[in-house]
Parts: sequence; C-alpha cells; structure tokens
Amino acid sequence: MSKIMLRQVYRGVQGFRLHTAASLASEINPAEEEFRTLELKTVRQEKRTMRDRKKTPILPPRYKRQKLDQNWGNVWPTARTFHPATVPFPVRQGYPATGQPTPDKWGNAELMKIPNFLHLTPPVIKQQCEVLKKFCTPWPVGLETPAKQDKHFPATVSTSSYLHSSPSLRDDRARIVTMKVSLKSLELDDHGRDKLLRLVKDHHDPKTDTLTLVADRCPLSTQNRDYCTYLLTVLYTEAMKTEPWEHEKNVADYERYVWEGSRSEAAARALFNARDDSPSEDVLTEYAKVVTELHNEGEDDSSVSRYRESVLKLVGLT
Amino acid sequence: MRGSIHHTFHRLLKCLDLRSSLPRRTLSTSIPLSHQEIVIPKRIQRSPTDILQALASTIKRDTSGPHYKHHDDPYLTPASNSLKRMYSLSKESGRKAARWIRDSNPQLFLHTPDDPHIKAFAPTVRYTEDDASEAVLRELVRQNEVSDAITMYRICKDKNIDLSDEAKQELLELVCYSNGEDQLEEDWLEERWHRQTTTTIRKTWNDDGVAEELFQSLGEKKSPAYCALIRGMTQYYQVDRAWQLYKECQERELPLDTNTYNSLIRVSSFLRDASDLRWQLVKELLATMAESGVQPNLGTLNSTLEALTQVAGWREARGLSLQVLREFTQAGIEPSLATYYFLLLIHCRERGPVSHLLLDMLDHMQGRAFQARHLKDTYFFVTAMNIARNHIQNLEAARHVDDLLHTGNNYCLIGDSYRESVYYRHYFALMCSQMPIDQFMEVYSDLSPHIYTPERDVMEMILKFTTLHNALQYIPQLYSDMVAYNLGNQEKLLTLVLSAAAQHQPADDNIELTEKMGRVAEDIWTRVEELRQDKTRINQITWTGQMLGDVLMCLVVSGNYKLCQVVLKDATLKAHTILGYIPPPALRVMLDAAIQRKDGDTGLEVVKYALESGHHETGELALHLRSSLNLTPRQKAKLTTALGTDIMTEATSSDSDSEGCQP
Repeated sequence: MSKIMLRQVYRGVQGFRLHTAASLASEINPAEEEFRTLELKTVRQEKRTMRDRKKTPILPPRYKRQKLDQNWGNVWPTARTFHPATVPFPVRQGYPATGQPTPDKWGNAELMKIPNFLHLTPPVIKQQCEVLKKFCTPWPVGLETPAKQDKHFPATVSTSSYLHSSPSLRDDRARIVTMKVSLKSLELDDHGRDKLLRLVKDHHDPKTDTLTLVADRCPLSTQNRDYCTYLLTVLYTEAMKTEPWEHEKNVADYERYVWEGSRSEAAARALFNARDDSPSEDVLTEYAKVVTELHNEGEDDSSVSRYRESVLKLVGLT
Repeated sequence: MRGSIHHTFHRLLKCLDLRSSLPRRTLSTSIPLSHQEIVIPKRIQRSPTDILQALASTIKRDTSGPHYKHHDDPYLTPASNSLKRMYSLSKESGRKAARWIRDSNPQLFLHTPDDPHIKAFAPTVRYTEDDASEAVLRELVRQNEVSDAITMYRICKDKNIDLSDEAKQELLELVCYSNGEDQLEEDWLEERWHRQTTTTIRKTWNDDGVAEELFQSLGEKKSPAYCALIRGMTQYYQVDRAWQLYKECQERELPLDTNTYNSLIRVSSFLRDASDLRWQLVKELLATMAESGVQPNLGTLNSTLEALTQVAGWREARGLSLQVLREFTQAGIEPSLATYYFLLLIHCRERGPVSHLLLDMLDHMQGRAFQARHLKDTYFFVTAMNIARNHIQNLEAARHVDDLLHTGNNYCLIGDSYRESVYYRHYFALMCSQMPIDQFMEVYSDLSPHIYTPERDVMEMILKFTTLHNALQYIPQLYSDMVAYNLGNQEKLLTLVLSAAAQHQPADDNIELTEKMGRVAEDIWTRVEELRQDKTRINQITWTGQMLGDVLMCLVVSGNYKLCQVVLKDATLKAHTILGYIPPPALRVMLDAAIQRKDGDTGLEVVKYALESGHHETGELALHLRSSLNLTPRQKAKLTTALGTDIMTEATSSDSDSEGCQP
C-alpha cells in the first residue's frame, strides 16, 4: 500500500466520477418505457444449481507412509495437539457408551484436550541433551557433596525469569530476589545470634536455621539483589555491635531461660539450707537441666516425668 | 576470632559485588566464601537464539508428511503441484489481507501492549503532501519504498524544497538498483518462492525514469553517482549508455569502485561481437582495475567467468576459465557456488565435448557447507544435476550432488520452487533410467509427493521404465499417485497405465495384484466416462481402441464380467467417438470369457463388433463361438445374418467331437 496520500488534484479522478454517474442514470431501457408492470410481490429467481465442485483426491493418512524405524523426532518435533492420522499406534480414551468399546483415536476430543508428551520421547530427549551439552560448563572441582557446597557457598540467591507467548517481554515478578543464608556460616556468638534473631524475627526459620531475605521493592532484580546484600551487611554489623543500652537487658528480656541466678535455683538452695545439707552438685545440675528444658522446650510427658524424677531426687524421696 | 569473621564476611561481600554486575537468568546461584580454593568456570556466552538453533539442528525434514507450512491433516495436505502452490499462496494472501486491513484502519490498532515496541506490528506510517521534506524522503529511501520515494521527490521538486546531494545520491542508488520499480517485499516468502522469473536477457532499463534526471540535477557529479548509474544501467542492460558514462569517468579521471568494474565486465559481451575481442575487453577492464589500485573481490571472479560463458563456444574459453580460477584463488578469493556454476556452463556445454569437470568439482566440494555470497549461487545445484543427467549420465555424480545439497544449510541454496522441481526432475529421470527399478521405487515413495511431485513427462518415463522392467506390481500405486497428483486425465499416461496393466499375467501367487489391476481399469473407465460427460472441459479425452482393449483384458482377468459387458456395449454404441478399434487379442479374451460363462449374447456382440471393425480375425472368432457354445436358434440366426450361412457349415477343429449343427 502506498505510503503517500495524494490529494484529489494530483489524481485527477473528478472527471471520471462524473462520467460514471451519467452512465448509471442511463440504465432505463427505452423499450420498457411503454408500460411498466407494477410488481407488488418480488418473484424470486430460480436458485442456480451449484456447480459440482471437483473432488480433490485425498492422500491416505500419514501414518501409513511411516516406516517402523523412522526418526520420530522429525515427525513430532514440538508440542502439538494430538492428531490421529500422524500418530501411528492405536490408542483409546474416554468413557464408552453402553455396549460400545472405548472410543478410538479418530475424532477423540478427550485425546485432543489433554497434553501429550509425544515430542519428548526418550531418544529425542537424549538427542537434545547431547546438543545442549556444549553450552554447559563442568561442575566445579571440590563441590561434589552438598556438605562441601554448604561449606563453601552458604548463601543462596534465587530469581525467576518469566517467558510469555505474547508481544511483551515484561513481567513484574522477575524483579523479586530471595537470599537464603544459614546462620551457622555467619559464625556469630550468643549475643550476636540473639540480637540478629530479634532483628529478623519471622525471616528466620528455626527448623533449618536459615535466614530468608526477600526483596521486591526496587524495579530491577539487580537492584533488589544489592538491597539484599545491604540488608545482610547491616544485620550482621548490628548483631556484632553492642549498644551501650544493651546492659539494661533484664531477666524478662531473656530469650532463653537461664537457671543460674533464677528463683528456681534460689529455692533449691534454700531447700538444702533448710535441711542443713550441702547440695550435691549432680542433683543440682540435673535439676537445673530439667527445669531449663521445661521452660525452653515446653512441657510434654517425657520432660515432665524427668522433672518429677529430678524433684524427687532433690527432695530426697528416692 | 572476631577479626577472622570480619575477614570472611568481608570476602563474602566482595564476591557478591563481583557477581552483581552480571545479569541473572538462572534459577539459583551460590556465592563463594573462599574463592581461592574453588574455581567456578566462566559462563559460556550464548546469543538469545543459540539454544533454539541447537535444538532445531536435531530435526530434519520428514518425508512422510507435508511441509510444515501446510496443515498436517489428510484432507488439507496438498498432493499435486497446483494444490501446493494454491494453498501456500492463499495462506499468504490471507496475511496480505490482514496487512491491508491494518494499514487502511490504523485507528483500530492503537493498543500496543508490546514492550519493547515492535515496529513491524504497527500500521505503516502514511505521509501526506504537507509532510514533504528531505528527512521524509530519506526515510522512504531507507525503507526501500521505490515508487513512494520517487513521488516524494517530485513533490519536493514541485514545492521547490532543496534536497542535499546526499539525499539525491541515496535516491539515485535506490532507483538504479530497482530500475524505478517496486520490488516484492521480503515478507511475502511464498510469493517469492513461487515466483517464476523469465531468463531472457533484454534491455529493461527505464530510459525516461528518474535516474538520469537525478544524475543531471546533482551539482557536482562525483564518483559515487557515476558508480550507481553505471551499475544500474548494466544490471538492466542499457549497455551503450553505461559504456559512455564509463568513458566520461576515464576522461575526468574519476575513480570507480570494484563492483562497478565487475558490472562492466559482466556485460562486456554486449559491447563487442567477436569472442577474442570480448575477452580482450575484459582483460582491459581488469588491467584498468589493477592500475587504479582497486582490489578485486568474489564479484570480479564471477563476472569474469560469466563473461566467458558468453563466449563459451570459443576454443580458448575453457583453458582461460581454469586460468582465471587459479589466479583468483591464489589472490585469496574463495570461490562460491556461482563460480562453480559458471565453470560448469563453460566446460559442460550441450554441443561441446564431454567434460568430467563435475566429478572433480564434487570431490573438492564434498562435505562443505556453503553460504549465499553471490546472486547466482542458487543456479548451481540445478545445473549440476542437469549435467549429471544430460551431459555425463552418471548416477554417482548425481548422488554426490544430492549429498552436497543436504549438507549443513546448503538446501537454502536450491533457489525457488521452480528450480527445486527442475532439480528433482533431472534426478528422478536419471535414477529411473539407471537404477534397478526396486531401488528407484523406494526413492520414489520416499520423495514424492511431499518433497517433489512428478510432472507428466517424468511420470511417463517412470511408467515406461516400470513396464520395461516388468515390475508391474508398482502399477496400481503409480496409478493412484497419478490421480492424486492431478495427472489422472492425461491421455498419454492413461494409455501407458492400461497397456502395462494389460501385460499382467495372472498367476496363483499374484491374485491380489490381479484384483488391483482390475480395480485400476475400472477406475480409469469410470473416471474417463465421467470426464467425457462434462462437455465444458477444454481438453477432451478420447478413447482409443487400444485403451479400451486393455481395459477389457484387465477386467476379464480380474473377473469383473459385468463391467466388461457395459464397456463392450458402450464401445459398440459410441464407436464413432472412439479412435481406432478394439484390437483382436482383447476381443478374443472377451469372447473366451463369454464362452466360459455360456453367455451367447455377449459372444455375438463381440463377433458383431469385430465384423464392424473390419478385423480379419472375425471369421475365426465366429467359428470359435459357434463351436464352443450351443447357440439358441435366435443367436444362430443373428450369426448367420451377420456372417452368412457359411459360418454354420464351415468345419472347425472342435467339430470332430460334436455332431454337425443344423443350418
């Protein structure tokens, strides 16, 4: 199509148009002018019979031409809706009507609806893997076991990229960056660990002892990655620091129960004092252990029974 | 302790910084704490489509189904050449219609969700006269819109808008390259594929076009303008004017570039008449090139060889071509397929001595993947196959050519659909004549119909050779293929099929084949009759007596007696529309069948037909009928009226057994 829209002057169409208008007006046949019949009902012309369309000869279905040792990857290279004429084996699917066998592959909507993996037969996968090998680098030496990998690479950064079958490349979710660090690798002391856990709260998973940082506040994933790094740095440095007001931490703030200096210790020692007995250290340590366990890990049958035992020993009833 | 922790964490951060600059596309990566011990190999760089290309390299064309541009469905698969052309061109016309709708209604296509913006999807920008400016003109030239650029140029001139010399040079180059005509857009692949270009060489240069006008309007005519104009004129064979311009350049001592010299060398045969003078001109031009210090390129080699093909009859031509090739190869110019094409044209001429250059060439080229480097690269494969078939009749050479075609991406250099079909035509013809018929039929069933659909002449050859080698088991398949390829109404082919079918000798081990032959004959008869009813057809098929005879023989042999009777009746009634007469052997067979079934009436029909046809064997047939069957009085009366009373009384060999018949 021409990219230039010319004005009428250049085209000079005007005269031609007038000419056609005049010719159209002269359609009235002079012979009919004598007497025109009034037709109230329009008589439909006879329907013209359609010319017999030449029947194009149809080739036999494709599976008949396929050899037994053909390369299936060439026939079905990509994911494709099931087509019965191309698939060489008989397959049935669907609920049969009463007295009928299971519907066969011809015109079977059930077979066409479901995804088939005919494009991923094992030989094809093998072939494709062979070809993709040249883009792969060898696995680094020294990182064979997960233990070694965790030792050398304790932190993990995850991003996802998204592909759409559409004109646009963009997807907002591609900016999200997740960083997972195992706290063990940070090698913090007790104070540091306690402080860090107070700072991160929910981001720490006690079962796996990993810290998860998710960043999505920046528009680009590189920016989010840098932000994660920054967060980790800040958390670590803050955990290593001791603020002047931290000495104000009292028993109520303790994250763990500590038996030494608690009322339980005072009570136990008082008990011994009352009996004018020197406290035997094993009993006391066991009692301390059991009480600490009850407070820190919660109560259940075994810990309560252990406490019972220990108390009995303490009181001297065993 | 703390110091070392700081140290390790510091190193962690350092490693994070190193990595943050690389774009992340993987699902998960790990950061090293101590990268001195562990060495991570560098990522292998790949372009956005490398993986797709690697996966695509695992797939080859499968010959059991149609090309991927067609729907893979039995009803939508094209079998004949006309259908293939129709389907692919109609699909493309749909795309053209879509583009037309988009361009005529741009206001409906304002929603553009694509990011980054895809220019090809947006409606084409349309300029009005008010937009006329040099920038718009240059944009149109850049987009290769020839007629629009010329219109814009004229509008600019009318409006007295000054155009810079660069703009004029760009426009001049475009007009010279395209001769002022719009070229078929690159998007219309199917049209390009099915385009049939004429190869006649005649002057098509538009003398009254914009090119000369532009050239004159240029302020100071410099070398690029002369180059563009000379090249354009030689491309469209306005040789005299081009030579004039060249002489002007020589006088004014303007330097010309390599491709201009190449184009002049190419058309040097139009400037001189005698072969040696033409070669002398080429040598002069090459010498001028060398003097001016212009480096030769592949185009120079190919143009020189092309000039030699114009004088290929000259006895020096062959030696000179090899000399030229040697010199250019020494200068470091790698020959392309077009070079080999021209060499073949020079050495393997139709009316010249036989040259086996092709074999040496193929040995040299074996296993190499070629790229398109010259316009005439696409002529090589067709010419090579042509020479293998016609010039040296060597099947091995043809096989090597085919292997070369299927190496790497060489198939892209087959050219267009016409050249592909000519290539396979030569290949099939050669294979048919030289290969054992079984092997040939294997190749045939592999390649047709989806890679190559045989044309009428090739089919004729195949049928002839099949009959010659007595491989009649292939006839039913060939016939059904013929019908599928839209060749089922070709008289010559039908005659061949029928004569082959009639040659078939039924035996105990080929009952199936006999049945198939019978069905073939039946199908031919029904279809031809149907076609004959249709009076609107231009090419009417005429039955010949031989064809009908073959039909009868096949039908009788396969046991389809009823249809035989119909055929015979038809032949008798419409004898005036049939060319010739049913030959006696067929009538004999028919008669035997009638006798076997004790069908006296049909037997009489046969005899009557033989009589009307004027066959000498009529008497024999009549006697055979009378002696083998007990005819009713009515039948006897009919026989007598037809052949006279002697027929009743004449003795035959079988009379000795039976008693004498009543007259």
